[in-house]
Amino acid sequence: MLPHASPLSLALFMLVYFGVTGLSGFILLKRRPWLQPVFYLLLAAGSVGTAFSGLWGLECSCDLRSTLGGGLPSLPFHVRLDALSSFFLLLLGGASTGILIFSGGYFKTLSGPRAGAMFLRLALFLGTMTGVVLADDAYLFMLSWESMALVSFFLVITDDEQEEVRNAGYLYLLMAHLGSLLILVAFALLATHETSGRFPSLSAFSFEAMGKTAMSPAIAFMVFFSGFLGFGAKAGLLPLHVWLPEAHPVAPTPVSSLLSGVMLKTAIYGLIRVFFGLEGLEHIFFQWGVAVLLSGAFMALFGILYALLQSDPKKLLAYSSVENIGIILLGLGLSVLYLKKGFPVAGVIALAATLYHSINHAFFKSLLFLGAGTMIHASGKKDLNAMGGLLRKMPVSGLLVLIGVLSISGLPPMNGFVSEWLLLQSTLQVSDIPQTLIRSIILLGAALLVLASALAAMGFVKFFGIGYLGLPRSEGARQAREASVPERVGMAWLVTGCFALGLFPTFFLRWIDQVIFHMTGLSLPDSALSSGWLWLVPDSRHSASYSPLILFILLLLFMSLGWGISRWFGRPRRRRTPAWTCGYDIRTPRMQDSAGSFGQPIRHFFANFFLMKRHLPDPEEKDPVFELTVEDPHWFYLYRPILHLFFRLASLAEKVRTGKISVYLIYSFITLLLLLTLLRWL
Amino acid sequence: MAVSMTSPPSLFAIEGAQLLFAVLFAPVLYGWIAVCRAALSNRSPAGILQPYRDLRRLFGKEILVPDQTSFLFPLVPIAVFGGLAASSLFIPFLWPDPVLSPVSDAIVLVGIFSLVRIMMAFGAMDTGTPFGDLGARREMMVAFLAEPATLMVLFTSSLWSRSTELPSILSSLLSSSDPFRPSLVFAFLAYTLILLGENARLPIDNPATHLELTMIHEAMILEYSGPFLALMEWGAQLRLLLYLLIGIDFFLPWGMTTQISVMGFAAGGLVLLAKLFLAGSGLALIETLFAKLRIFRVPEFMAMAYLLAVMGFLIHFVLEVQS
Repeated sequence: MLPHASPLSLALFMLVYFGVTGLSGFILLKRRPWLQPVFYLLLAAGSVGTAFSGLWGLECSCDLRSTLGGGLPSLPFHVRLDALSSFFLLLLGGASTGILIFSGGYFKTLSGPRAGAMFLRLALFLGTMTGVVLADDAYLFMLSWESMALVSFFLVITDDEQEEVRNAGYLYLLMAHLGSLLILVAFALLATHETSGRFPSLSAFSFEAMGKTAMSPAIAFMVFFSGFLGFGAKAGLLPLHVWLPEAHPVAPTPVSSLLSGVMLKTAIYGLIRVFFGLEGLEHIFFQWGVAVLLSGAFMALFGILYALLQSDPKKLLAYSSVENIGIILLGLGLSVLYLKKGFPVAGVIALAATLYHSINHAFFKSLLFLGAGTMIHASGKKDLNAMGGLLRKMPVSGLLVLIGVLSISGLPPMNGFVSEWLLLQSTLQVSDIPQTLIRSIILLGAALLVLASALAAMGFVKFFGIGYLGLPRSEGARQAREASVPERVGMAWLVTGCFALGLFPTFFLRWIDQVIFHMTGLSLPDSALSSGWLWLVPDSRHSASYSPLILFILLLLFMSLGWGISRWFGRPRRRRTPAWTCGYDIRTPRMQDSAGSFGQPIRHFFANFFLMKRHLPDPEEKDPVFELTVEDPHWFYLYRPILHLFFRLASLAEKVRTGKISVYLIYSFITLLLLLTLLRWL
Repeated sequence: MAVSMTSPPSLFAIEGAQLLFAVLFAPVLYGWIAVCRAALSNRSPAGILQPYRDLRRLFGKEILVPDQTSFLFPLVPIAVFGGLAASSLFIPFLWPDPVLSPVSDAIVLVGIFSLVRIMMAFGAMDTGTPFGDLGARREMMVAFLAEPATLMVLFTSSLWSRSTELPSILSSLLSSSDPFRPSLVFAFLAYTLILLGENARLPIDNPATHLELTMIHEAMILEYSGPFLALMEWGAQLRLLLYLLIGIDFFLPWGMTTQISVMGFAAGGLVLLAKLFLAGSGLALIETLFAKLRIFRVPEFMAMAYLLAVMGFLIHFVLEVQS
């Protein structure tokens, strides 16, 4: 171990701390479940420590490596804390702190054994995610990655007595393993391709050795795309996203929050590590960046369109995660494209936007999942159509969710806007590129990005408007109560993060610049860092600048001006009356928009995107029912056919299966003969 | 454009003048459009100051708050008015380089408009009435196509100046020797369509009707009354003015003063007023000539704006770039 204090030793200490706290919580909470808030606070302290180690690593611009005991012969566990790991540690620790504080209030109704088990799993989940970020060889990475997948699988199936939960868990596990397999392929190619068929010594599997190899374009291509698909399966890349909208609704709220807010980002970490670190930009072709860009742009549009049609708030958020990962991939592809084409400024801005959006998404998506949890808890149903009017019953948590909604909709002066603004600024550098085709592709990406973010605003107006505003749509919503204190504190932590990211972007950009410099050797333009902390200037003052803090202060100032005008000119009397509604005297909650009807214009306009089954009632029907189901087309066009194929193959295999041992012996005999003849020929 | 906090106080006085001009002139512009429309349809107009009388009347009334609304409801008019009034500081119209314009480039402006719109939608949905929801849904429907189209127009304009800062776009247009650009023609057409859609004008929305099947903007502010309604109306007037001012910056910036002098401001102000009155009568003409579109046709209308904007963009690369 390292003798002196360093960010790496702090991060490793936190890893141990997660384990110890998890185990002691497991033992103690069985008997005393009421201790949960205390233990979750302890765990949150561990997250703060992790975030701090990341911050420390970024501040000292350290690149620390170390090896630990254990591991394989000639491949001990390598760990490394560089700028990229530090940044993701900051993200991981920062977002999970709020989620863990929240958990202290959320799980208070759990019985002893379940409380203990939940606590241990959450602690292990955090530990394995930290391990993924710190790992510096393929073995430790895969070990952490797989344990992370397993632990999160058990977290998803917490309520395993329900069938839908088990199904969702199975789907998640399947996708996770598919992804791991592909990642393993990428690592194996990186480590072994030089040794021409012979299995190399195990030490070739450390990231340091893997990063130093030269490779042919074909190998580089395979590494790039198996890495992209492998990490993509975890991140929700189309068409491997299908587990997201299934697993998130069934998992307990803090778990879905961790999955979407934090775990998806480990996949982004993996992508950046493989593309920029292990494989290296010199082996990457710009066309591959185009592929990433286009798939990201399409994901963004697809994700948000499906989010708009959901009535389960967590499903809505899960599809919106598909959208946001799409935006992140768009930025990543764009930066690869620009950097390979020789436009370092634009490429670096795109990469900065990618990293910025990752940390933004970690904060606001965690916050919104927690908010969705309190909504579901308050109204008793996982359905926006059973909510409404919650803002009057839960003003504090409602206000916190509102801030999250403004953030994710990409509105100034909140944080989602900063990253989307940076991304747009980088697409605007398109006129430097001479080739028309590439130019149109980047423009298409920009257009889809803008369209997706405008649609996201509509989707989150729906989320907040149907859930929190209007009249209560069910008895449960009428009885709703404010969330508990730890829950509100946890959400407030994440809101603070959103404000910090939104109003003080320059601080974060300085850290992101460390990451970019470490990964690419390039740096953000001078003006971005030297213009003072008030100003966000990606390229030059002449081309674009933005000051979120001044804007925020001006908005507050002018809002109070508006308030003053209405007070000064207006009569101060205010009276509550029934709503006017054009004079109609009946007003029931059912006259409001439902979650489905709010998305109707989208369904109408983008009809080609959706697989819809509609049942319109006959005028003479006794109990007329209007039914509409919208299905993710990937099930229909991709997964079901694959499933049918497997069934077909299985039934073919069934034909040769007779159940008689003599026949089986003949089978093996014939196989043996065939193999021997084959060997003879060769 | 470089700005430091040590700028002479006169620059801040210009900002004050911009704010006052925008806030005070917005109702007059609305009045002027109404006068033109009345004249075009052979009615006798109510006078150019009618919106002021309406505002005074509304400010004198008491505020009725529908029961079962949350704390968001009274916050919305203030946010709408405040957000739009603040935007007037960032758009150059009296002076080509306002002190505060680096705070927000054109993309941020689009973002502020979007913030205002979302707050309005929340205010409407907070009432829990079918009309509020209907208005919010339709407004968001118009918005999701109008907003990308706006940004595409902005991109087209920014291709020349390689900047999204309004002062830079402005100065690149002012300083160019050959100001006619085909791409800007398309962008201008797209912008006109967007302006109609975003400001609830015919043929998208009819501000003069309360017919439930057609209204969008009016449905959203249906439950507001008294000073709250006044702020919402004032905000809507301000928004129209700001859209026109941005349009002038993009397509017709000539005539703005470049020297701080009384004569310069007087001349620049007169030119600006002439442009605004002209644009107002143009709007009135469009509104008199066209009937309201069916609500299902609205997405097609906005998609056309989007398409025109993209064409402007492509034409820039095909015709105007020497490579």
